[in-house]
Amino acid sequence: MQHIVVATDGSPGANRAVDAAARLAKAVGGELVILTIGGSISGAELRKLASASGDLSETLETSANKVLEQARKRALRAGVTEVKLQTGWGDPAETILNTVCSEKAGILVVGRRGRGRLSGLLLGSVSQKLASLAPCAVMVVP
Amino acid sequence: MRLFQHFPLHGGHPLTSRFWHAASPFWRTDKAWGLAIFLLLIVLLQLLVQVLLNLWNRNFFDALARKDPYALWFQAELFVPLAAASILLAAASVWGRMTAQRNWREVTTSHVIEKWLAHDRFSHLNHHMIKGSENPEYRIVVDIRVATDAPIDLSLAFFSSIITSVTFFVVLWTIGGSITVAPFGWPVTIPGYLVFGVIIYSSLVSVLMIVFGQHLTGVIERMNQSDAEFRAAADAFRGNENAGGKTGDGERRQTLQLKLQATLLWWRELLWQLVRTTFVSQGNVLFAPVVAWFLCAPKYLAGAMTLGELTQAAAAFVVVQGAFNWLVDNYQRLADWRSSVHRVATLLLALDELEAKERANGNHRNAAS
Repeated sequence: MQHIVVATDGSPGANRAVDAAARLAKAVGGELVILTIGGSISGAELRKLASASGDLSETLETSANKVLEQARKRALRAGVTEVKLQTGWGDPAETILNTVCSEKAGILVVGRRGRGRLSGLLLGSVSQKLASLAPCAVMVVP
Repeated sequence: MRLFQHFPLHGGHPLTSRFWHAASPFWRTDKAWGLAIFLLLIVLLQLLVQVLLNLWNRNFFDALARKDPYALWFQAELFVPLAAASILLAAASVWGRMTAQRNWREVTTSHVIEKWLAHDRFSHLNHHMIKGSENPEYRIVVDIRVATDAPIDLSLAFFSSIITSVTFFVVLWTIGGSITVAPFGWPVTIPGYLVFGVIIYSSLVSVLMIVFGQHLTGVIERMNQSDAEFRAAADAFRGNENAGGKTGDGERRQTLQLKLQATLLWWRELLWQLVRTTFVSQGNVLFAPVVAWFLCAPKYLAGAMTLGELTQAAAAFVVVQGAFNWLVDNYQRLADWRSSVHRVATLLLALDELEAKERANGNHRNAAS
């Protein structure tokens, strides 16, 4: 069975990537692996946590699960039956590549631009890195 | 706005009092009181030397202004015993502080180790994984050290700040005297204007520091907590312990990554908090002596103050201002101390819980036989 990995951060661009990956998975009858990279939280949210009773690990886990759950719903709406959810931590490009290898994915689907716009401009975007380094076909959704 | 936030996560005062219950026996010994009196005496003597150096400063610059070589030579000779006394007192202070810290740590650590080893509680603690008892070795080794080190340093610094402020207030009041200003054509005389100047300036710096670093203690405490959780998650790979109730290598790896991410995020926030507070602290280092010189300049230019008095007043101004900043200077140590106290207390509470269970089981067995 063909494995299709799609990376999402919940942004509109990533949502389009999830829709495209879901249509593809349905067409080829493959398993869709939805991956999100946890750990994106603003300074304001952190400061709020520092003065309240919230737990950062829980917040990160919840926020990653929320992104995955939204993506799963989108995929199911598109008609995919087999969806696997995964959360990764650390450098996005490296984590996505590791998942592609561990899942033996045939296709990787990513959005052209996620939430990290500034770092994308300064360092080169995640999608650019993936397109050059991934060991499989990469579909970049505009 | 709160300087120190209350963290419901830790439960606040019950944890501090539980720690104090375990740590206080040392302070009921004669040795502890002997060391405490010795340290207080050292602080008083250090203040005396500081006042004498401040006076020396005035006399030296006055001699310089008079171009008096004999007086300058006399001041140079006087500086040697003053410097020697200051150095000796600093060394004695280090000896006293570290001896008190070492003894306090020994008594407290021995007490916690006894409790931890009794009835094989160390192994039960791992099996039951009572919330907050993860990584007990680290709590015993590092957290007890931090929890017993900081109070001695901080208390002495606090005591020193108070007596230094009071003493140098007198110096500022005496040297500065009064000044007459006429803001709207009406002459107003301000007595001891340098004292008011230092109070206003120090209050301004403190307020700025509180505004700029309002989240600092919270962030430090959370970062320390996060570090401890990260260590516990890493520790779970040793043996068959579980991390946060999750078993299996994949899940433990995920937990470890999650805890690392949380630690790094707190570290990033600490960086920004320190960048913000550095604006105030570095600005203060530059501005404090200049403000003092500007405040004294009108009297010096009018001939009512000598050059020696000007430098003495400026030095006293900086000393008082530094003493006023005790709280802001010790933000980070206070936060570290609070986190360590809370972690030691959580371990003690977990051990109390086990002890209560042991007693309940013992009573149950006695009743059955």
